[in-house]
Amino acid sequence: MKILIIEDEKLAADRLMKMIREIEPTAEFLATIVSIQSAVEWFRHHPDPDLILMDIHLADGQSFDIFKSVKVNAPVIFVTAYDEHALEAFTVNSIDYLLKPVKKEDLQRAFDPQVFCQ
Amino acid sequence: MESMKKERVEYQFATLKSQVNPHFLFNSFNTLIAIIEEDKEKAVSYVEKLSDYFRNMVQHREKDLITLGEELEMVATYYFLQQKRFGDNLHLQVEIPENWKSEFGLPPLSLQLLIENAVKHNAVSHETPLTILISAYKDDSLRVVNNINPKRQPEKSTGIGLGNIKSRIQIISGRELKVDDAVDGHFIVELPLIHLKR
Repeated sequence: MKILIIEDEKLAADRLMKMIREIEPTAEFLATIVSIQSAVEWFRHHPDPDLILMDIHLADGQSFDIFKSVKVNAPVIFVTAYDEHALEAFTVNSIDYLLKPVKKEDLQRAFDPQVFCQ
Repeated sequence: MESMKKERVEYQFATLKSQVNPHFLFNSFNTLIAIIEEDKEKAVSYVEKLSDYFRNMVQHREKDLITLGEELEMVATYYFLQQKRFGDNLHLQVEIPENWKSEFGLPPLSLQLLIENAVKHNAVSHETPLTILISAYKDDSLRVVNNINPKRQPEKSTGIGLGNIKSRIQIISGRELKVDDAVDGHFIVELPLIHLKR
């Protein structure tokens, strides 16, 4: 499973990857992207991954801006520290919305194959 | 009139201080969990700093004035916590003579709020690092300078933070906090200090 991480804090990104490896041993991490600008660049030059984990507050603004600049078809799991963007998140192709600190069982639920089938 | 204004400013400040920034709190917990898994001793010192931060918040908010040294300690604690998140992309430099730390005072959290504002309103990343310099200015002021890294979508700003610091400084010192945001890509604040010993 090819996974793209969009998260501007290194510690947070490292921890996400560690938990995902435990849940999904076939996970392959394509890149860790820290800003809207570099995310837009990445999507322009790469095919869609199988899954994206995306922090909402990035260094240069909110990650929803990415979808305004480039077409993304992959499913997205949003991650945020504070619950105020849930509605906005569901206007794009999100399959789950996780709050920081991210709990492993919540992440596990997001990876449930049934979710992908929906 | 003057006393009504003072009351309003104090009320505003009380509200401001009672608001724990939820982003700061939950992001700190998230960072903490990552550190716990990585290094037990580092995690202990992180929690100690986090508790220092909240204790200082609670203790200092009762006062009208604290020493520059006390305020700088708060700022240092905040910087320690934020640096765990942002790494080398956030720099804070303090250039203040040692004797100023006990000779001058200021309304509590005024410098702290300026630093939090800088972190809140600017992009902090590897491509766009944020550098904040706090330095002694003229005989009795501080200058806080940071480079401006505009965000694509600016954070919602209430303007209460900066406005409230301005009013408290005005009331307590009779002097004015000056803000200049158009100097060569830098945001500059001039913060008047109060002489404690004469």
